[in-house]
Amino acid sequence: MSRILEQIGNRILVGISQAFYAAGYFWEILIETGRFIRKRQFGYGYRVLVMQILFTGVEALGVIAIISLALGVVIIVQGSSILPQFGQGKLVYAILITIITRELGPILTAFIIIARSGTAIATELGNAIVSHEIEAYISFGINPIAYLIVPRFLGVTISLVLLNLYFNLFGLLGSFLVTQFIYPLQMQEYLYNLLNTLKTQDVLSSLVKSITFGIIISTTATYYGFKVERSTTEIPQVAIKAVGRSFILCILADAMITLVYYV
Amino acid sequence: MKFKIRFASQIVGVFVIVGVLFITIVLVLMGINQRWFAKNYYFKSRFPSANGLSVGMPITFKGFTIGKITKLSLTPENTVEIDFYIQDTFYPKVYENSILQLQSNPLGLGGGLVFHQGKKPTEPIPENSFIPSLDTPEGKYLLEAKLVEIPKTEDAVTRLLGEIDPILENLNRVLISVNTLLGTVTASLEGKGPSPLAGTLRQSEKITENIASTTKSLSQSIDQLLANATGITTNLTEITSNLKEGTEVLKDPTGLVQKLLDPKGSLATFFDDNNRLFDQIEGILKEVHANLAELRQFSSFLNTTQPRILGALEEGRQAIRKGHDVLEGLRNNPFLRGGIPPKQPIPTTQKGYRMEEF
Amino acid sequence: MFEGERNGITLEAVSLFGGEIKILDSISATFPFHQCTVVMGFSGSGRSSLLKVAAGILWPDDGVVRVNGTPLAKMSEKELLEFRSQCGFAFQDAALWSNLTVYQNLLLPLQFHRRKTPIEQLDRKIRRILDEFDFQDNPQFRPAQLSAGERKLISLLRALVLEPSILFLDEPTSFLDNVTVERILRTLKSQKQEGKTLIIATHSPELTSQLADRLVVLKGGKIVEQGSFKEVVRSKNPEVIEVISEVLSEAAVYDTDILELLEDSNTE
Repeated sequence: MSRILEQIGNRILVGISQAFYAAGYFWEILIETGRFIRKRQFGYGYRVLVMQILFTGVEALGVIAIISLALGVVIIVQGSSILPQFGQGKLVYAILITIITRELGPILTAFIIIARSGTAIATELGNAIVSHEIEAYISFGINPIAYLIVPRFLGVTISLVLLNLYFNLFGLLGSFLVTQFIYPLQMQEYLYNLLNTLKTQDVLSSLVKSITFGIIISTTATYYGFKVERSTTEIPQVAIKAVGRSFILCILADAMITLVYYV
Repeated sequence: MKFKIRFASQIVGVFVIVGVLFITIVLVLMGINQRWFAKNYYFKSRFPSANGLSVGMPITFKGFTIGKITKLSLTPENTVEIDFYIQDTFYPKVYENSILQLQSNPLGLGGGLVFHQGKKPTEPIPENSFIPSLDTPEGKYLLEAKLVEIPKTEDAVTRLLGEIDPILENLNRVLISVNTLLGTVTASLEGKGPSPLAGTLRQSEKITENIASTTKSLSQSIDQLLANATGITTNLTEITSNLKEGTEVLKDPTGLVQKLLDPKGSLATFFDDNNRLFDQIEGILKEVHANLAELRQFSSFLNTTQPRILGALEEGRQAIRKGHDVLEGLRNNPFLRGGIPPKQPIPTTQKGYRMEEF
Repeated sequence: MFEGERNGITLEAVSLFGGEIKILDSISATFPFHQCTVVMGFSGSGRSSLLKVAAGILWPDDGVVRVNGTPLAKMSEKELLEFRSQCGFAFQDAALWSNLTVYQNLLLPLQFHRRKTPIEQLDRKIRRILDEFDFQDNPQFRPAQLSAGERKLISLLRALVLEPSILFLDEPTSFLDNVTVERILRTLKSQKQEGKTLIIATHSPELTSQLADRLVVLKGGKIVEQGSFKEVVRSKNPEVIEVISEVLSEAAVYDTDILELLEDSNTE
């Protein structure tokens, strides 16, 4: 009995110390990010940032475009054929904005980024540790957090915000153009109603969500990447952990932000 | 080196700029559409109660939303003071002596806060001034002094009533003409001796009464009207048969002579009065003849007007049925707000399945 | 700061754990400046870790590392950066940055520490050092495209590119052909003559005999013997004799790549 209690106690203590460690790690990232932004560091960090946006943002654009286009078309076609039967044709705009701008836009882009970049970052950093590349940085006095983590942190967050914008661009406007072929609507009427339905809170909520998800994904992925100690077999394990944890944290954060929005 | 790697900065630059541009354009358009940058002119008003008022409630003018309520507060005198704004584009419409009216619909739908412009065009009144509401003495005074005019509003129910009105009027007119005609008939028959004719007279009186009661009851119950009209018709048939009877009596000279001689009891008088009696009889017969002609005319007129009356009744009935539908619809549809939308003929799917040939 | 004083890097009762295993067991050692210290020991005796702790790359779980008497842990960020800019570390497994080209691997430390120097000057410096060691391949290659020997050479060049006053070299000559080893030896000799501090972990009898001023003998994470080359070589301690003879003969006998690789993976 006492052994069980001891085990539970130990586990709680380990959990608490890990939470503190993670919080300290996040704090460190924030401090270094502040430094990175304040005094434009030497070219290398900037270059990593650009490449990170290229890999995380630009290369995911295709997937995002397809998903958001399809989603938008489905909502418009379904909405504008069913809703007028209840005399609620205008609800289609509210539904579009709720689904694309507020809910699915941020969370779907986050999921895609987790699958693409979360794993990539965790694997890359794990490899860098196993091959002692991190130690090589330290030996030159180059802070790995400042030069490896911060550009990824910023890159993923910026990419996520931008991809969310593109998701909206394709989901709201692209899908409208596609719908024209199947189910013609008046362009001016569509845009006017959409812009009137779109509230500042919608835009704000969407942006806050994508920024939060970006922070969660980059922090989790780099945190687990750095958890690798010495062997390459740990790398797939941490990649899986990074993905799983990112998913859970993103969904929890999503629920929390949505609740805050409605409360 | 791969194209993507070599031009990484340029590609990322375009990626970022397009994204930022998109959100900027959206925000600017939202701002313009939702009037973030336009100036609003604030005013105050007072109501006896906050019932039906709420913050954010739109203020309309001729169907346009021109402003919104921003604040409701209870004053120490227990009246409700509201703060509201008028959009800059509508500000020049705010003449002196304008008032606000809280319109409520008998069905509780489609009401709103309506702005009524002062009658005389003036410079717009300064910001933060007081615009009285119709529910306060100031507003009522302005209305009574004809400084402001409240146009007749139309909602679903008034429209419906408007549709029934001309039908009823039409019906009324027909009945009035029937009435006057019967009046002349009565006048011509008044005071004349023979019993069948007196019967005719009484019957005519009954008709007039009937018609009068019909006209009165029309405003209360249109359904009853049809029955009454049938009553009129049967009455008229009775009149006709009575008249016929009278005519037949007159046709038989012996019976008539006997009857005529009877009161005096002496034939001598018949011959001694220098044809006075005969002349009298002849005059009566002439009058009866004229009356009969008039009656014929009347019955033929009634024959022609009867379909018109029936038509008018049918129209009224349809209008009422339509009104019933509308009210039923209003009661049943919880989504409906702001009037009745144009009906869209929607083929029902149930019908489709049945009708289709397999 | 580090020049002039004939002090050095001292380790006081330093312990390092790798999970449950004690890699370094309360080691106290001195690496004087302007001298060449060679660390000897079997594979897995903790040589690489000792070098990394001394260079301040790994933080010990216990004990103090002092540079000129100042504990590393108490240095300000600026002092630590200054110390690091004076250190060059060549890793046993090269540890080149795999996502950068060979050229960028050499450029990055220069860019980081010589921010005000124009890029043309840095470029000249990199070309000169590559020429000096007769690097044949395209410097735009990635480390993965190089042979193991070339990677080690680049790792050494990366450690030298900042012209540091303290050089940590972990097996600098393994995997390399004789010509390159010859060239490295010459370079290290001239570095030593310039008064630089060399701390080398090696099997090579050549390097040891030609460069070592001092010897540190490690066994199982503990120091068996340390002192001047002559003292240690003549030590009567049977463990010391065992280590020296075995290590030297090991290198002499198994001079093949496969065994080296095996040995590499066992080092840690």
